[in-house]
Amino acid sequence: MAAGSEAIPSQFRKGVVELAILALLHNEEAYGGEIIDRLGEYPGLAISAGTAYPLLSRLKRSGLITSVWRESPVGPPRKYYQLSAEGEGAFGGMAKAWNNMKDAMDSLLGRETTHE
Amino acid sequence: MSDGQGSETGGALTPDAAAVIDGYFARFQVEALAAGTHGWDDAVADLKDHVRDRLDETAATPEDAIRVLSELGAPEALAAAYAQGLLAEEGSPGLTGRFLGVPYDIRTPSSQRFASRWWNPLDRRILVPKALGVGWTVNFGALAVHTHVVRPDDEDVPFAAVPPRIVAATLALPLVALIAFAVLAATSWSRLPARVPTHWGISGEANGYGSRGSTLLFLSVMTAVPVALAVLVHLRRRPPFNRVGASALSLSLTTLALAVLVQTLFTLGGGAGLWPMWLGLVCSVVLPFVLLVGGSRIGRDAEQRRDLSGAPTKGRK
Repeated sequence: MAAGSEAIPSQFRKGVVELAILALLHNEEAYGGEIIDRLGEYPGLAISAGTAYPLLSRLKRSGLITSVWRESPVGPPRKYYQLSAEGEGAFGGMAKAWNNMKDAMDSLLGRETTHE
Repeated sequence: MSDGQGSETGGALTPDAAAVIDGYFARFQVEALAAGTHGWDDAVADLKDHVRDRLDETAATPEDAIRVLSELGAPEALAAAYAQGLLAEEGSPGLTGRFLGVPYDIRTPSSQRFASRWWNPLDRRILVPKALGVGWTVNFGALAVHTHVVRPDDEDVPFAAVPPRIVAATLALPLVALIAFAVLAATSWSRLPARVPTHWGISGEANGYGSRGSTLLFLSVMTAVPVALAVLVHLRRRPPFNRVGASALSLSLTTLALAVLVQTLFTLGGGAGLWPMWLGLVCSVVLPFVLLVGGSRIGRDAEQRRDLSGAPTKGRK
């Protein structure tokens, strides 16, 4: 993905993308392809299927999300992911931490929070 | 195990609290051993230090110890988490790594590792480091995803939802191939000359020969050992993932040995060409692929039946 120094940025990105997935699922459940498409709408968060599915598998194993098969209006059934109660809690904490970090980083990087 | 170095210096732990901590880590290690991975001593030492650090802030009573340990979760869950972490990062420096860019792995082989290299639909790489030895092997899971015959998240855990009798039935395929090999070897033995072709040029002419006995012995070992190991994996009631993987791997090797034997008989019978060998090679890839994809489909269908039958229930764990 990012050319050059990969190790730290990729770890960094992984954490952010994980939070992004939890944020998506906080609002509504979604299936794998949908999650990839929705994240793809944000250039900074776009991930490939090769990244998305291992991440979903890990979130599921750690109990933050659950999955269930549902009939699809078109084509075969799809596996939908949703936040578990534990995941809702974790998402709340992570979102809070993210906001604190974002403000701190904005001021450290000497930028006003211009986007509004 | 003996990991008390220096960590005792912190707070004065009451014997009761120390007993609680030791009891916890004894359970942790039992689980860790059951998970079949090694390299726990560092992890246990780190965790014990962490617990002692936390207890320094308290009166270090047994109740405090229980409370601090409960933050770590049940020892069984913790051991499972560590097992996954260790397997994922492929620790054991020296026994696994890369030499001149080529991956190697000479750790004690496990049916779990073989299965996870052969079938990992989450990994997009078609060539993955071998489970044992030097070089790469095919990840049939990636092949299946790239050819759109399965989706990466079709199954939560590969083959876990496959009915037990189907898991057991997968062993029939390598067994049938082994029997075919044995019957063919036994019936053709007397017709074989003392020296038989063992190596062929690209156009099919034999260019290497070996003695009848050693050639057949080699081929027999090549088919019987993997099948015997697969039988063991099944008899020991390993997880369905390991069992289906072992069936597929032994099927591949048995098919290959059968192909070499057929090619030998074909050449001796005056046949020209290498097509039995090529056909065998193709079968040694296609048959396990079909077996693994079939298993995955059955597992996925079982998951779907669980979720889609009747009322739309919430997903279970």
